[in-house]
Amino acid sequence: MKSTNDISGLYLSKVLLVLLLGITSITLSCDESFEPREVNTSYFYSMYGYLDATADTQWLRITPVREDFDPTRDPIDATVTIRNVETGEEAVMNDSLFSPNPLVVMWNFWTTMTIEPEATYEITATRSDGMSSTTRTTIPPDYPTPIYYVYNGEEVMIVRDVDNVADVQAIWHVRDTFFNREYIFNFSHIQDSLFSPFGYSNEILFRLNANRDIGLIARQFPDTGFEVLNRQIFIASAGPQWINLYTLDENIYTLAEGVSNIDDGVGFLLGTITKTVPWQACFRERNGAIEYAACELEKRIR
Amino acid sequence: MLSNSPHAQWASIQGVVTDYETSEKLEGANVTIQQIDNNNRFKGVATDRNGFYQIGSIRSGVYEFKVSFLGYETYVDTIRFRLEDVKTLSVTLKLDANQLGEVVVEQQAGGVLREEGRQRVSPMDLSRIPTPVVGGDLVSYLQTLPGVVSLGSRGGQVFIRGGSPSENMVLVDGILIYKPFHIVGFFSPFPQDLITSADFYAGGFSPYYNGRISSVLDINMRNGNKFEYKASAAVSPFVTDIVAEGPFGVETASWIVSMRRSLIQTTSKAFIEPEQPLKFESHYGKVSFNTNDVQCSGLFMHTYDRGRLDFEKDETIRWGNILLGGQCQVLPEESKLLLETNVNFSHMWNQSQNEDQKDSFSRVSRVYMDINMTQYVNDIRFIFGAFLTTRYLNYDIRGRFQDLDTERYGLFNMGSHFEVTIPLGSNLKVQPGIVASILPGIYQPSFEPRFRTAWQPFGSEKQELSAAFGVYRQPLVGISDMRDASSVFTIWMRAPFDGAQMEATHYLLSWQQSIGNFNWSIEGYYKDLENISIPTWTTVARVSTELTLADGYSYGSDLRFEYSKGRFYGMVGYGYSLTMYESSQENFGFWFDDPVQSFHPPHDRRHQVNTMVSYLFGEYLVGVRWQLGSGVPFTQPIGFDEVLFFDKGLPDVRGTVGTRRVILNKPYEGRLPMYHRLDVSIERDYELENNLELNVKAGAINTYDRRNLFFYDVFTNSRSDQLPLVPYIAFKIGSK
Repeated sequence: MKSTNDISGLYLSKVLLVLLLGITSITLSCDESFEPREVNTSYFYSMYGYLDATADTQWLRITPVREDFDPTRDPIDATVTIRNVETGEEAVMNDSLFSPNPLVVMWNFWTTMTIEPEATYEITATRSDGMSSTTRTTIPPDYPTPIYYVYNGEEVMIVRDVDNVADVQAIWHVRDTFFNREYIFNFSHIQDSLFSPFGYSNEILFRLNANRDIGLIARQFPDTGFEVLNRQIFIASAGPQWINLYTLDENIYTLAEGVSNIDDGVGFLLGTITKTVPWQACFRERNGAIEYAACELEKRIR
Repeated sequence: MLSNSPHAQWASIQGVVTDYETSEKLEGANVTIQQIDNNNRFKGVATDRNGFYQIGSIRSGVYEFKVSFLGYETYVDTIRFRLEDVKTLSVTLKLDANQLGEVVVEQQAGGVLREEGRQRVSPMDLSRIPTPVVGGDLVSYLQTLPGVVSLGSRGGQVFIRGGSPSENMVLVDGILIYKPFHIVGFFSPFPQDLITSADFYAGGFSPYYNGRISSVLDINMRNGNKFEYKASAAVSPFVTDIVAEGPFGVETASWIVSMRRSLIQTTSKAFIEPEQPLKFESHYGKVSFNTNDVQCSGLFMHTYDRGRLDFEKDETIRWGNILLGGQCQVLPEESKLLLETNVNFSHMWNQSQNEDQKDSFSRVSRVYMDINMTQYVNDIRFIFGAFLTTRYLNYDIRGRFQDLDTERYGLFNMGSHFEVTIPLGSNLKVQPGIVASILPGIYQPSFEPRFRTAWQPFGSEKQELSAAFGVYRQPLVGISDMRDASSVFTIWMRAPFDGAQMEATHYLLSWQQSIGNFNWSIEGYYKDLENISIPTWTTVARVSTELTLADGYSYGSDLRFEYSKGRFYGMVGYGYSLTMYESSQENFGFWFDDPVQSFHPPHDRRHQVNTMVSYLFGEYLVGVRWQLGSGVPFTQPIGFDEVLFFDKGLPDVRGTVGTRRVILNKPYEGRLPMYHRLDVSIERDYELENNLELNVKAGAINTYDRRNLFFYDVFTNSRSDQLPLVPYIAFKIGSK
């Protein structure tokens, strides 16, 4: 590492010093702040849920599109109104905070306003600074109560006069036989549809695969076993805002603009008419013959 | 064999020039013959990367044969040539103790200059970089080169001119290493003490190298000393090293072993905030056997890395490499053909462990054989050869990439390469070449034409204009989740889409000039990229994603200035780079109304400045390095909410929490803040008794404690920073 040279050490040490001071002054003056977020001028509220003409109370999930990853428990800055577009009837929805733990904050808005079939409703969430998100959704027409039927040895549910079937769920109320605790399981059968074998274009059959459901429940109780206390079928029809979400790529669904029907917001709101019937056959006598018939509607097990 | 007419009747001489103590091949040694019995005919050449020289077209007579290399004693002999003599003379050169100081300041002024697109990196280059250990490290040096982008002090990921880490070929004595750098960004298994040299090609590399599309780093590991036993031990807050070497009892064989182990996980608890949950180690051994005609070596290397790159996440990454192989170079007596062969095995595994999901792993094993030949016909040099590769791949990535699952399979690949160097007059040479390869059942036969040329307009090596063009294909892809800069987990696999071998076409043009002690160079490049596998974007926080293909391009230029005189060394480099990918994703159609989007990938660093100064103040060597890099792209969040899904029926609004979502802007539209860091060091050697030497080095990383961002996690809106100010003192003691 030794060598002779003709460069003055003093001169070079000055050069080094100036270089160091220059770099230091330049860099220390740099702004180190980092604001990763794009300023949000597009999406004010996130709105999810559905209006149900058969429900006494309407529940919608409405939260501000927030700046931070974790939600806060601060009071929500939102006034949510629901208005019947045809009649002009309007109500302010009530907020309800549900926060089972500090990391979960759910703001649900509810109203007991009557929701009419075939009516269009406008839901608006407004901030105190006037910024708002809004959507309109139309309730579908009412439809006959679906009928349980056994076709070719298979249990099916016949749904008639529904343009958009948004949900067919089996609801199982069970109790494990060891701890005596009760559970509710929901299984979707929406993708188990058949075209009507009876030649009706306004009719869809949904297969109710009880063995599959029971197998899935049994996995939850590998060491104990369970008994079924009750079971129901839940059917929902949807208004014209419905899109087929069952085959839609989840990545697309979660994009802000993927399926959102909220103006100046994100989310998906739907108008529906839901019906809950017992998972059983009901019959009636007609012209002296016994035939399958719709059962009485039930309150959904929760 | 190639005919050497029309001068077949003339004599020729060839041989290999090596170091006396270690038998390492000496590249760039000047070999001259001067006729002394008549008219003083003179011819001269420089040895190539194999230390090989060949002088042909020698008329009969008596010649003074001279081999000189800076820092070594000159070898002189007198040789009588008769017509049709084919002489072989391999020479070993002894270090010249009187010239050592000059070697330091003159020979090593090569950080700027390239030859045929290659930059040769020497141990002295590494020593100038302030690293928190006595002696330098190859990866620290690489990060000073314009066009080489490292995303931070963690991860060991190096992106070169728009290419991703898995597109770089790193060879260790001819053995491919899949994951070559350690998890702490300053360190690799290649410290200054262990390497002889490294040849770095940022693009436009020759047909000798194939199977990668971005760059080549060809590392020559040091042989052990054939005459003396030596050992050294070093310790710093970051790492500890032990090296030992010696002869096998005969003067033709030697060994060298080393072990490197990190200490940062332990020491950071005491003085670095936050703690660094990072660990690495490497083990290395090499034996070499050398005679006049044959140089053979065998190498073993093992590396292990473990750590969490995003300290906020519970994901732990582990990886390791095993390398085993040998290479031989043979120059048969009275032959004009230099034969080189490699037989080796390399294995890499990496694993990602996460509390919430099943472990993912990917392993790749590779057996490789080749034979390469170098032959001169008059002044025309031919390099040609053939290779066979068998790979076994095994991965289980369920839950990470939606399209992929678990698979294991073998791949067989064979091919050949050919390049000829043709001098056209004294100032111009052209080097056309080609690689032909087949991978049966997977891809179509591949032909990759390449062309390089160099023009020395003033007839001197001090000014050179060079250009290169080449097609490069890569049969195996290494897929990382580029959405996440902290994700170094790489899945090695054949291209996930049928027949879509990754491909790049390189175009390079460079100028370099030496003016006294001042060197400067500029190189412009353009790379056309095809079939790059990238993950699609999702807006829900999860590691699972699908893969898709992207095409793209990268262009830019590197500008470097270097001055070296006496005790002073200074280098300034500036790199400009622009990389653009274009991808068609169904997502994008819903997102932006256009399924095809162009974007800058997350390693697209536009501007990079590196300055380095070292000066020997008396006995103290002071080193200063300052790096600046403009921000790399990231995807900006707009806001956060929870999604309720309708795909399994109407959601239970009152009871369902929902899935947390980040509402994203267009991918990679944002830029992270500028990155800059000043590292300083001062070191001194002390001579001890018993022929021992103590080296003490003190310094600081990130001297002005800049809060440099390592990684911004868009899914959690959290930042992770690189190392803060870290002062250190390091020691090394060993044989002189």
